[in-house]
Amino acid sequence: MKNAVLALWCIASAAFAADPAAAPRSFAVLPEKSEVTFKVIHKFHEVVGKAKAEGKARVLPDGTVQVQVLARVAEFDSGNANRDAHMKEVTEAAKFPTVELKAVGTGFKLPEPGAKAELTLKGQLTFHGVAAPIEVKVNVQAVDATHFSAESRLAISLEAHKVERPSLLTVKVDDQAQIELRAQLEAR
Amino acid sequence: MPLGSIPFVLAMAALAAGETPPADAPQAPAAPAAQAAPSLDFDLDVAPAQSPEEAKAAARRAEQVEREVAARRFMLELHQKIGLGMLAGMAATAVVGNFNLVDRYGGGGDTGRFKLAHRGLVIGTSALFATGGLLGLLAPVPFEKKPQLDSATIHKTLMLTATAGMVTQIILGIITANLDGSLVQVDLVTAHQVVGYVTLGASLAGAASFLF
Repeated sequence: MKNAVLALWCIASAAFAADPAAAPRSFAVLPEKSEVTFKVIHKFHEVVGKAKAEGKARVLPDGTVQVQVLARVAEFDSGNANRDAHMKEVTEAAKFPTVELKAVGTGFKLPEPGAKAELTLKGQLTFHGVAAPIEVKVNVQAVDATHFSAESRLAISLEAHKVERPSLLTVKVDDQAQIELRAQLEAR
Repeated sequence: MPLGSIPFVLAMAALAAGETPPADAPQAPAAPAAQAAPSLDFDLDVAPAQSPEEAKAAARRAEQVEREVAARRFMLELHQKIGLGMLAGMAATAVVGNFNLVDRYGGGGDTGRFKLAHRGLVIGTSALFATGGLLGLLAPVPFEKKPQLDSATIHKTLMLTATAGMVTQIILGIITANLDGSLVQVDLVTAHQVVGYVTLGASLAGAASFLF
């Protein structure tokens, strides 16, 4: 009897240790439901461009979150083809085709369906071929057990990324540009 | 396995499930890595890898685009500056042209004191208009643009109107000059005035089209 109880404990312990929640969980950003918005301010008007977001995220058992998200510069659409072409010129889209965020967060626990969680990511944003350190807060909401939405906002300096600020009627756009990320993620 | 090892197995299982150890449990020392900058030594395979041939072709294309972009930016920045100078010249031409008109047909004594200034401004403005226009038209287009009613399309349409106005002004000017003393000359002068204002308006609107 003693041996039977012991065997039961061991099986139960092994099953507990192999709980899928303890394994890394991978997520893919759904490009058709995710977008990066880029806002540039000029004295005469504001320009807002949008592009699809692609990427992946991984949540490790210790609460570490690894994130890699990118947007293709050539896809940014501000509703004005001439302006978009100009944007591709100043950001050298042929040479540096993507804007990429690579970051890590710690102490994160995936929220239960319907619940929200906040995550601070630290890493780097590579834009125009220049990687700059970045820290950004991300609001995560669990849609269900396998689908999550994430939203984040950050400001970047165009000059820090060595982007020659475009000008209109000899007036340059502001150095600070706003980036907003809205992503839908699915567990894979 | 002796029964005494069961609490150990349970504790391991609890840890694996992410349970917080009791408050009185000994705390593990913080790992040095936790204090340092986060490690970005991972790749989630987001961007598909390029073959060496693809990478070479992309680099060649990027170099070509870069050359075209540099030429385009130089030409369009010059186009902008010449355009603004041309607008100032065109406005001055309209003002001096009106003085000339009053001098000649409005009881100014027909002294001809504004004639030379008006002619000089016309020649200067026309030269700037042609140079600026050619710079805009000949600038390379490194990135494909989807057909769309955008600020550039509106600018081009308005500047095409202004070009038609400039050509009309030159023709009208030559005809008017050759009809000195004729009664129809007054009508032609009025037409010259109207076309001048339309040309100036179209040019101003063309420049302003980029503001929206």
